[in-house]
Amino acid sequence: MHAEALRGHIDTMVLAALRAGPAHGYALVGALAEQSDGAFELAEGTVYPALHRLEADGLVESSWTRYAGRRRRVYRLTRAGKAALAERHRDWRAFARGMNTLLEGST
Amino acid sequence: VTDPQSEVDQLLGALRFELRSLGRRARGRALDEARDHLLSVVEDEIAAGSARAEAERRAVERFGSPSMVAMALRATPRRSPGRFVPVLIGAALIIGVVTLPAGPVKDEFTPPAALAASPADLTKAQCADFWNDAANARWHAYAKSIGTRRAAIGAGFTETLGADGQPLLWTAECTVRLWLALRPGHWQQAVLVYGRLVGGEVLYGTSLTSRNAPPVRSRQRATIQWSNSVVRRNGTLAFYGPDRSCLPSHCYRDGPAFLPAGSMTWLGLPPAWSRSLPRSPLAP
Repeated sequence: MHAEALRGHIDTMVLAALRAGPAHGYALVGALAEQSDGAFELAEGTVYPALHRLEADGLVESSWTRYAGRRRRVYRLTRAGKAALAERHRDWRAFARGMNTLLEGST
Repeated sequence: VTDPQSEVDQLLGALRFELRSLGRRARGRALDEARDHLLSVVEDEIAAGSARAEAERRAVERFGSPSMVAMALRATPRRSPGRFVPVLIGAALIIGVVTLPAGPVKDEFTPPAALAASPADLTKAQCADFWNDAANARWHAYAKSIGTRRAAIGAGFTETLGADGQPLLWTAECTVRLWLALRPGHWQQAVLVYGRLVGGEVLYGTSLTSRNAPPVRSRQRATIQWSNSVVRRNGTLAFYGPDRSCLPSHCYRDGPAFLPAGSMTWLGLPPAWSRSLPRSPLAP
């Protein structure tokens, strides 16, 4: 799936990837690829604006750690982030159900 | 880990340029994250058998366009800082030094041997010990040659330098600051010698700053002249000048930067800000 198709969903994808636990950006990208069976191809740098947006919205929080002598920012879901993820999941299921019904009915 | 002209550094340079309108903290954070990401990719690609050049090419390719990433970062709403978070984490240890006439400017020197072999995480004491190590005699001679009045040593710093108001691309683990006084009470130079530990490899950089007030009066001082430099891995010193045309990619040029020291006076730094070490690393 190309980046254009993923636009608008990256924030939700990032929230979902953080559900497994705290992670830094690079690990998140790996988790997104792994959990989606490689279906999502996104420019890896785009995960950081998403993380910053989510943090500004209070859905994730972050802190610095150190790895191999360099700074590494680790993100984790907040309580609000978990609630937002659950809500987005519900919305997505309803959307997918409706879209499936529409597409399958039109064939 | 990275060569100043590497693809990774070029991307980071471009990203830094694109993010120049962001605040210092937000820009530094974004650059640190991008750096960590890119170096992680490089490390994994090399572990998987790629050559470094190929690994860097892949890292840059996977990261995407710095313009697009920067555009998205610039559009991100910023939370106003709720409280002051100190930029400098470690407290500097101040060391008294000897007065020596200004010597010739050294255009190359080798990294501190002990620091080069150090682990990634340093304590302030370890950092000071590395500087004090006899193997660093050439650094000590260098400090003397530029008329150092005091050296401040600290570890755990997270700091960026900026030749033109933009941060450079790396942070410091172990910092040695050499304070000069070109005229009594005025016109001091702060030469910062950095050791950065990345993946077990150490790079060094220095910054030369002229200020019109003692360094402790940070809110009063005004930077009037400066340049940044790096110590290349081949041991030579290169200068990153204040010329904005060097951006977005790094622009290194060789040349003299350290001004000869004039009359020297002792800088009466307050005890609360500093404390003496039992020995001077610059003792003859």
